[in-house]
Amino acid sequence: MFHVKFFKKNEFSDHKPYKRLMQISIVALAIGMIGFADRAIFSHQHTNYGSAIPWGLWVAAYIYFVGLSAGSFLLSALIYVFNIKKFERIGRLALLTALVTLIGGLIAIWVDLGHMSRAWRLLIFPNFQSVMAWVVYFYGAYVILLGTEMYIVMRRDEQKLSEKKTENDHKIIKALAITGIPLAIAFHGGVGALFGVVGAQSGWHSGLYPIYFLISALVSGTAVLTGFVAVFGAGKGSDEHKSIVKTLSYVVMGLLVFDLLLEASEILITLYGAIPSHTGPVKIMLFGNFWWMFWVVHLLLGSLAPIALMIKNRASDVKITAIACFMIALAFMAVRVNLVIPSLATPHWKSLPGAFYDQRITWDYFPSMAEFSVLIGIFGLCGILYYLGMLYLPITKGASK
Amino acid sequence: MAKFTVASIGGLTLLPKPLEAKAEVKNDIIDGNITMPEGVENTILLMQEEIRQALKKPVEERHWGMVIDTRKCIGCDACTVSCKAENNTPPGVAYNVVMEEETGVFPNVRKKFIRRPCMQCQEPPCVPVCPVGATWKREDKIVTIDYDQCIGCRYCMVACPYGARYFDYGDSYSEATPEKMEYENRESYDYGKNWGKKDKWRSPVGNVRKCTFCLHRLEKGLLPGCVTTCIGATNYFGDLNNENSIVSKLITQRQGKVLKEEMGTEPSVFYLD
Repeated sequence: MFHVKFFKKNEFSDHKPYKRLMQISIVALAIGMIGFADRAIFSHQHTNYGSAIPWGLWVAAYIYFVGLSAGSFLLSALIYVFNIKKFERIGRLALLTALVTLIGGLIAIWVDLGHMSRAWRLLIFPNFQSVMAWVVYFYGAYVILLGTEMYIVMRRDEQKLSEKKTENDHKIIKALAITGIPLAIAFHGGVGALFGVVGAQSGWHSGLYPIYFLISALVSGTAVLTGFVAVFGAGKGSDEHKSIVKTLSYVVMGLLVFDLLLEASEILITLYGAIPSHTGPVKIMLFGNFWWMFWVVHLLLGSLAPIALMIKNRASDVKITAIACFMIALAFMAVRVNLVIPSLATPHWKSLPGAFYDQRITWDYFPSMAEFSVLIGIFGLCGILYYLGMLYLPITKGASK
Repeated sequence: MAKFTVASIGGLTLLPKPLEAKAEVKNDIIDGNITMPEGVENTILLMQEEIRQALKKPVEERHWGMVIDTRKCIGCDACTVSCKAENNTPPGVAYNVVMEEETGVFPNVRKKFIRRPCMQCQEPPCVPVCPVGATWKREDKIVTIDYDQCIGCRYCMVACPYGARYFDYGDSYSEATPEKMEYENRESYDYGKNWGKKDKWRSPVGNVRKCTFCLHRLEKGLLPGCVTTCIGATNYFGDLNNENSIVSKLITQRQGKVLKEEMGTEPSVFYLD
């Protein structure tokens, strides 16, 4: 197995970006501990979601992180299936990103449950009429596949494998990757379907949702991966590295434009349909109290500015690509929040909000400190797991021959 | 009536022995106007008799239903209060609410009050979405939630087109006050089970909750709290499978409608204009 030595020195231990990542992550996790402790002691009492808007920041965080996971994984699967030699060295980085962000996502949704200790019921007593049950099972399969693929991809560096075994491993990896593609589509398309099947939520009930979720996952996952490759990728400064980053940035841009197209379709079709019960959520997103989440965070900072940066840069400066991609990746949280909240913030009847006054039955929502704290903590945890993965796993070691 | 009042407060230990159902219950409804048969004092007791008749039937032959006469409702919210008292619901949980709609311009202005309990849909959209199968439609057509199975994911809440489901956050009305009030410690009897003293980690805290049609009262031959309390005799309750019940007759004679009919959820709650 891997030779795990604590405090192992490798080519990254003194690398400035790594140190920075570790420092930020530790601070973030420390902040997060407050939130986790609050959740552990006070259950949901210090959260701000309620019975009218039952899904809040943590559900948005969950779809954000599992989206990153699906996107990174799909990219790695394409690399291994189509044997794109040029990208093989980032295949492992993609797998690590997929694993770390998946853990983050599952933690986010786990703390959101009313009874965390009953989560096992999802596996033992599933109701397969529910899309959520399918998604949980797909995650289970995905975790097993991801773990297996990572093990096999990385074992050839630690173990001295014969030619035949290496050849064999290639076949296994390819098989796993091929299986992984429909699986990733199933589980993240499934998350989109989880929202899409809900007829009661006019903002969600669209056949486009599974597709939109998948494309969003690809955008955010590829963006975060490109950022990581640009900052932490092996062979930094080399032409090969530059070329990889350049190609990836084009992929990110292309996917982002397509994602914006899908989003434009959803928004414009709804608005032009002008049916109030349908336009409610869209109008809340565009013109409500949190209009800036859409126009400033998502469109400006998360889409147009990064695209402009990358075009101007012509992908020559790896650092600028990294900044642009991290902007896209981080601002995507706003997209995810806008997927969850506006539809829920539209009451089923105009007179329903006035029917009963209760702090927990309100159609206004802003996350509490505890909720933000947990989110920051999950970011921190992901950063630390990422760092540890880079440190102890042969991630950036050379690709096969 | 004293026996009846005591029973309305809730708490099964206070209940007297249920009355025996009379041999035959007849009600006379012509054009939606109810004429009391001889010996029956008011519609509440009449409906109570009908419940006891229905209880004699096997459970799968009952279909509990509610009729709400919006013409008579004055928006006093007594039903909301009584529901809260009967089911001892915490902040964030309001099984029953009354929506207020104002139409027109003075002097031709009027208010309409629309009560919204759980519709106990025959095609409930909240049932298939539960990932652990903790909610389902009972044989007597009431949609139930098993608080021991529910993991609190709240998917059913977003799936309800009527917003009839609520989450128990374990909040308390006497939070930040010097003393926790006695009433907050009372147990709830949702679906006929004693859920015990309130605890922030124990069901029904952390579970989704909703109107139960006061199943715990029905099983004892009593009407739901909201129906019993209504000062305007606006609410009717009974067995929809009995074509002679008050509720069945009112629906046909006064053209009972349901909310959001276009969704096809087939509620068990009907509204009379």
